[in-house]
Amino acid sequence: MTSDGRGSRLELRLAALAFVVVFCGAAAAGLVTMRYRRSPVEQPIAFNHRKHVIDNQLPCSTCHQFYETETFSGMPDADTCATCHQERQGKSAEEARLVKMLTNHQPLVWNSLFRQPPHIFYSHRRHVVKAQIKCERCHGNIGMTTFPPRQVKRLSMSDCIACHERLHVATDCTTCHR
Amino acid sequence: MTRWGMVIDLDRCTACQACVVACQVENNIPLADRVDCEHGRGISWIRLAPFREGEHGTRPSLRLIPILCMHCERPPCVKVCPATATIIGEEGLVGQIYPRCIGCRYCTTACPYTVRRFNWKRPEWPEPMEQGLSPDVSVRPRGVVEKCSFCHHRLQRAKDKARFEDRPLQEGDYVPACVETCPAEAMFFGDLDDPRSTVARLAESPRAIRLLEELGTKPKVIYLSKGESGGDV
Amino acid sequence: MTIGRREFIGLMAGAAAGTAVGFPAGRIFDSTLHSGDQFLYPPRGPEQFVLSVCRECSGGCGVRARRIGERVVKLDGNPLHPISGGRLCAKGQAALQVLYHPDRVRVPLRRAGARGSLASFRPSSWDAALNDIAARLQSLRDEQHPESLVLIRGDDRTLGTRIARRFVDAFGSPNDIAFNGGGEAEALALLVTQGVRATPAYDLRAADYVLSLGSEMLETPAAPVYTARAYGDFRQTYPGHRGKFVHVDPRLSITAASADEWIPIRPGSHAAFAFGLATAIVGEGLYDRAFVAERTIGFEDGADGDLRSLIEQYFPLEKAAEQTGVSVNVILRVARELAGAHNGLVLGPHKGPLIGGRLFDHLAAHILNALVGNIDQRGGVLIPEESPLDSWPAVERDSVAASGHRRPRLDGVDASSTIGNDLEQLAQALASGQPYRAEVLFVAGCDPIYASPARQRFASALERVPLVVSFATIPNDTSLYADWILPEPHYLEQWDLHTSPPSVAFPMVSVASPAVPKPLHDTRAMGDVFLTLARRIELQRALPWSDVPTLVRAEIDRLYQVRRGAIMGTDFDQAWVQMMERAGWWSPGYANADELWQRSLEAGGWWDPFYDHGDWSRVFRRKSGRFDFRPDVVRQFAAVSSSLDSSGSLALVLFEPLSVAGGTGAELPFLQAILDPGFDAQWETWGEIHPDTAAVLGIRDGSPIRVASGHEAIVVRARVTERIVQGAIAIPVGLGRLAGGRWAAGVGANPLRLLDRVREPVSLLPDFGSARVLVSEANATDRRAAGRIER
Repeated sequence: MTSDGRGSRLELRLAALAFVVVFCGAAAAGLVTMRYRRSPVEQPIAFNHRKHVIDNQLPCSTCHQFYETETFSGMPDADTCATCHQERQGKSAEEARLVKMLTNHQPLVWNSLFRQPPHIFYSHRRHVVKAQIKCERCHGNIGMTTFPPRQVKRLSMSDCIACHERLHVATDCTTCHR
Repeated sequence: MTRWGMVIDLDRCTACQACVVACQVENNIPLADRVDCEHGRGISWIRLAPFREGEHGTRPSLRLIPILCMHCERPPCVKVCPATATIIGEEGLVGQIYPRCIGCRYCTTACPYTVRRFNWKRPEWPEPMEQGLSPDVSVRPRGVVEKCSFCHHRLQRAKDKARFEDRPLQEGDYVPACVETCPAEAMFFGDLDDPRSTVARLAESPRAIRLLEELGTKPKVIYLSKGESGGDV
Repeated sequence: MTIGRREFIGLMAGAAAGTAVGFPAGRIFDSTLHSGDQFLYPPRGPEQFVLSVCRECSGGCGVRARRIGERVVKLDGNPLHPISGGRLCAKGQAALQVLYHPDRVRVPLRRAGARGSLASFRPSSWDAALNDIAARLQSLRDEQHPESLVLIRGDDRTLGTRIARRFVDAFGSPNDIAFNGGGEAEALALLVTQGVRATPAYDLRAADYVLSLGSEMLETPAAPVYTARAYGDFRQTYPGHRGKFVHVDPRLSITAASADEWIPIRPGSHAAFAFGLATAIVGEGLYDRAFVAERTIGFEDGADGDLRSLIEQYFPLEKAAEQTGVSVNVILRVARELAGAHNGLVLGPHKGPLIGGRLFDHLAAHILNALVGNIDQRGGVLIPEESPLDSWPAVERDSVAASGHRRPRLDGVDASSTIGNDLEQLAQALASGQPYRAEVLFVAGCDPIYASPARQRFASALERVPLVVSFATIPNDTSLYADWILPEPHYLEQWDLHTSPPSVAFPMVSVASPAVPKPLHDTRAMGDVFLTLARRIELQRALPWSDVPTLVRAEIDRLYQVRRGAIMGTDFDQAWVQMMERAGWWSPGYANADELWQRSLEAGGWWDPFYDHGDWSRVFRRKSGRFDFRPDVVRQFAAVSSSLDSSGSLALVLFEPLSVAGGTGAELPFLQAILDPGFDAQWETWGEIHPDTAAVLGIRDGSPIRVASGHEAIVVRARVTERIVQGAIAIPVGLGRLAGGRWAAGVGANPLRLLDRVREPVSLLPDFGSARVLVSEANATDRRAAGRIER
């Protein structure tokens, strides 16, 4: 750089200005992307929803047993799977793994894709039984997947508020926040 | 319209503090050790406040009054919150939205009843105490303000149950933990706007008083003063 | 302005730097903003309610545990239970945290080092423990010395304790020793006047004037929730009838704060006040003439030693005024109020489960109750009925056992003793090995090392016993002196059967089921341990049950044979059952034993709410068939001169805050934070001193002070207050424990250490109220010494 007087000061000022502007933009981007980061969710068994829901016509409540009577939905425990799978039903290697786990009485711990934040009250039975909302509406078409997806549908507060407003149901903060 | 309120009969209250501990267990209040308490950082949403009268000369006496969030109809805390983290709902409950709270504590200063508490530290429960936590109440992180919610998680569950059973909410379906446990049966809770409810009736008692009424907060916790025959339960 | 190359480079450099620094800064900022956000997800699950019975105190409240999945998340009163009625006190609410306490005993612990420290213990196994204990017990039986087995147990009636007691009986030892710090004097007064062995019940609900002579009835009565419910009714439930409550005591306690009037008196002068009232009532002819004439003896038999003449001789009003510090006018006024009330009720001093009372005080209170004619009346003193399951068939003792039972008890108590247990004497016997050595000692449900005035002697005495076994959920002070600490399940993890708690008039059987699907740790119920030991050493004939749950079911089957009472129910149910019984019908709500069992599990148990007032042959069991004023006993007390020693020392007034009463509670932070709402006292022991006394001694409010008796000293925080009379210092009992987990150990000080082996004359009960102490500001040495808890 030559000591050009006003010229060099201009490029420093431009650099500083760019730094500040881009800093703010990048910081905002950094902040916002933190919201959308998601750790991959691994399952103990590579469960094939399509085989069970479409091919075998099992309703969601076969395994998710509580959404009609409780506030939560529930995940199947080893006993539920063992109703059919204490013996081999098909030919897949994954099912063989499951049968082995069940014989050894290993616990089956599924990892939730949809984690309900603890500061929210949400009642499954209210929405499924009273409001007659289908599972796919919020959970996406997970029934069509052949292996555990990493992410099916992102639920945020705005989704809930949008539907509540459309159907003229309570949007009071204290309805859900606790 | 429903307007939730509470009545505390000071003539029945024995200051046993069952309400204090019931609230702490119900609402996942973080543990405070000796050092925390020495700094005044122990959290309880309801407390027995002492009022000493008559020292030095007249007969000394001690009055203990349970003080909790009054769920004012004109809440000073709601007015001052910069993050809209505290709001007053349609049924009169002053709620706290923890994810919005930025911990500025303006509300804590604004509250004339000093019922708001700040989380100075990250809550920790030594293993296996975390097993006793209730899933119905959020576990607050460090840096947010909390206060009595009239156990409004119980209202959510009660409403859900009533809707599920196709019936309206009845008196006794929704009762905060403190009211439920009070051994002297000194606390009452219900809809102040329902003329048949116990609290509506008691609010009209000649013994009924409100604290700091002159500030215009219109508190919804009503006290029945000690010492006279009410004959109105 | 032109953007040339340099400027462009400058812009890009700035932008790059901005991105490089800004993006991570934004991420860091977001994570600090939400540090800890959503880090705890208490798991959800199906909701279930299980009924049990709280054991945090003797109160026997039925509780309902709310369970989410496999976790208990809340305890509340069982709405159908006659004691709790759906309500629960602070300690009961906090009991949930004892279940999940981090410092619970998780496996049997064996001592491998010096006694008195938890660090000396190593984890072991049930097999090792049972083998060791069974071997010792077997050798005692083989050597024909079964009397060398000692059981020190809480004064409760849980199945575990009853099985342990039966084991000791069948084994052949007379040494079944109850540890009950506070309750004996009251029961002794009842025994002395009415010939009944029970703790009296007080019908507070129906009283209209309650005179509490130092009874902390709103903090630490025998049944706190039951009493609080009755108190609420006493005040405001009946339109137009508001009871009046007067509290007479040196201290303005939390109970006194609820009273209509607090009358301060000199420490230790409750009996003097009571007899002053008696003088006034008798002198003005205000006593219940009909009751006294028809149902009592000893009032004015004409003989020289009757109550009337004793009162005139020994308790003139001026003397009462002088001894109590209360004016004659006030004594007269209170006497008139008490006698003039429809249902006046007098309660003797009761400072907590660990603080023993005096027979003289309770006798005086009971005499007053008789004078106003409220014995066995509504609003008065009731005599509890035995619960139908209270007794089991007598043990058939074999020859070894019979020979053991012929030996004297190590604490010297026998059928002719006035007192039920003597820890002081026991400590001496253990230390000296006379009249015979103790070889095996079980401790359960009590903490003598913490709570006995014979503490020091007890600790060194225990060192002489070869095998000491402590049953504990959280190790207590006595556990530290044991050889084995056996993990006792929390009450929420056990089956149990409870009969009526003390001071409740009606019979009751409460069923407790486990609230968690399986115990958290490797615990075994004490009852099951003794049943196992019985099988190992061939005593199963006396204890024929395979395990505790089987016993619970068997007891309920036995209950079915008693053809009265009903399943616990609402107020309406109670009224219905009472009406039926009065008319001679039995309408229980169950048709067979199975139904009784099912409904007991659903509702909480069985009870019989019908109280037959005026069944005189049941309540007066002395030869005369009447209430006996016992002028002979009164004369003995009156003859004892009370020396008012005021050599610069202060009277030590002891009391127990509700949250740490009974020596439990300090292990929980929530209970440590609510010790006294009047001072906002938390996590420490304090001493209350009147401002005038403090001024004389140069004590400032809030400063640490040294409180010293003849042989021990503690350091507490001074609270200068008018809540205590002059010339005294009031110190709470409940802190200063050696063990009890991270929140209890080493916190506060134990004023029971200041007591010495003083006994009340005549009754020979340990005297907790006559200690005198010297108080001074604590210096640095004192404070350092206090930091190191002494053994």
